[in-house]
Amino acid sequence: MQRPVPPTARLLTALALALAATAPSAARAAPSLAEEHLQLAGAPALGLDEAVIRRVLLARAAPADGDEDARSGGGGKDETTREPQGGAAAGAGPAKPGSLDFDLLGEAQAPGATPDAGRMKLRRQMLTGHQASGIALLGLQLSTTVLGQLNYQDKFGGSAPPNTDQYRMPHAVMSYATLAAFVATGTLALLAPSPVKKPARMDRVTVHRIAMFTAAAGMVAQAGLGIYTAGREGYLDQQDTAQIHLAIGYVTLAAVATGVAALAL
Amino acid sequence: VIALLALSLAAVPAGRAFVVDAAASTLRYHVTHKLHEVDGTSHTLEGKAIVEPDGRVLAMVRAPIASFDSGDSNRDAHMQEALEVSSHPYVVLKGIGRDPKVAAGAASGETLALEGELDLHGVKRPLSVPVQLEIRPDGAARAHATFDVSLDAYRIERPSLLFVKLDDACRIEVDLVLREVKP
Repeated sequence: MQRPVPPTARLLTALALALAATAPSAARAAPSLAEEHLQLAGAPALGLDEAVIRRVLLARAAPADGDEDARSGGGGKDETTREPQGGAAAGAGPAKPGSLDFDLLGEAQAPGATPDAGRMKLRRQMLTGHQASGIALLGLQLSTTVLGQLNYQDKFGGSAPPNTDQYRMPHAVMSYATLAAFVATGTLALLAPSPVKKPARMDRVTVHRIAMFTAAAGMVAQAGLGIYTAGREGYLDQQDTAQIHLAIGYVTLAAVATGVAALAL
Repeated sequence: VIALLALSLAAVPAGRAFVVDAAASTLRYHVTHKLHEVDGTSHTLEGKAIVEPDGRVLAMVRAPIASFDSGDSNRDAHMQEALEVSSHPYVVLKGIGRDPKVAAGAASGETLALEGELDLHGVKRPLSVPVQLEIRPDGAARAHATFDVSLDAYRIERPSLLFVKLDDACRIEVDLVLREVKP
């Protein structure tokens, strides 16, 4: 059975508490308001009465030590690393005076679904390959177009000696190489995982995609039209189809260049 | 007794607390590539500052890495990859300064020297940041600071475009509107 506390004892306790509140050690003990926020970070702001009572309790529990201006958390240290935080709860205890080991905000909200690190790494590797392949594609596409123009002029340009056929095979080889590079480049981009959710909007990548889908259509048309044109040897319409093939070649080259420039500029 | 206790408690200066108005505040990074420059901004930040009666200021700001928007969703995704957002989802800046004028509420136009640290990519590094303070007509405080950090120092694998890496220097700009928390 507990003994009742005499009124005098309660009075003395209250007085002691009040004196502790005004004592210099209490004022120096800790970041006071900061500690209030340390302890209840994330909670609504305290009333001053409660804050000061908390200060008294903190002061009594942890007396002041050392110079307030001495930084114990930075200063001489170059850097510190820590474990993955997942919530930034580090240092959620009372801070030493002058220390950076405080946390005014409390534990951070757990971020939503975080992207998978392995998938992000795979994505980066694939998109790096995509860049390399894309630059090669631009070079191949340019070469194919130049050779196609030369082939057209050789065949239909009217310059002597006409129709030497010297550009036909190089143009065909470069065309297939360009098509292969295009398929490889596109495959890397399309199969790259996308672990980070991205809002749909008009930006550089959207321009890049539009340009590359245009180029894809051009590639398909060129493959069919090129084979068709080659098969019209001796027919009157061969030059017409060759002109269309040439024009689509320039459009396709422009689309690929636009796709690369959209990312680079 | 109660009056005595209340008088004693009232004798303790309580200081002031401020919270960041996220909608009016920004945290921005600026990085440079040989071909272009990139700015990413976050408005999804939280922060708090405590001004002690003796002029000591404690401040802390935190923003989710995923909240930074550079105007290009693919680039933002790339930035999150470089910062390994799944392991280190937040960037945290905190610091301590001292200026009696701040405690007295006469801080407009003052520059507060903040000694602190930036926690980025799981690496904490000390830094000194001059913070320009301004008291706005509505009573809110505006704090503005700009400083440079090295991406390499924070062990961030610098992203590359067309096989050219970003420059190492990353400029960080903090522009906060702080509103006092009334007791």
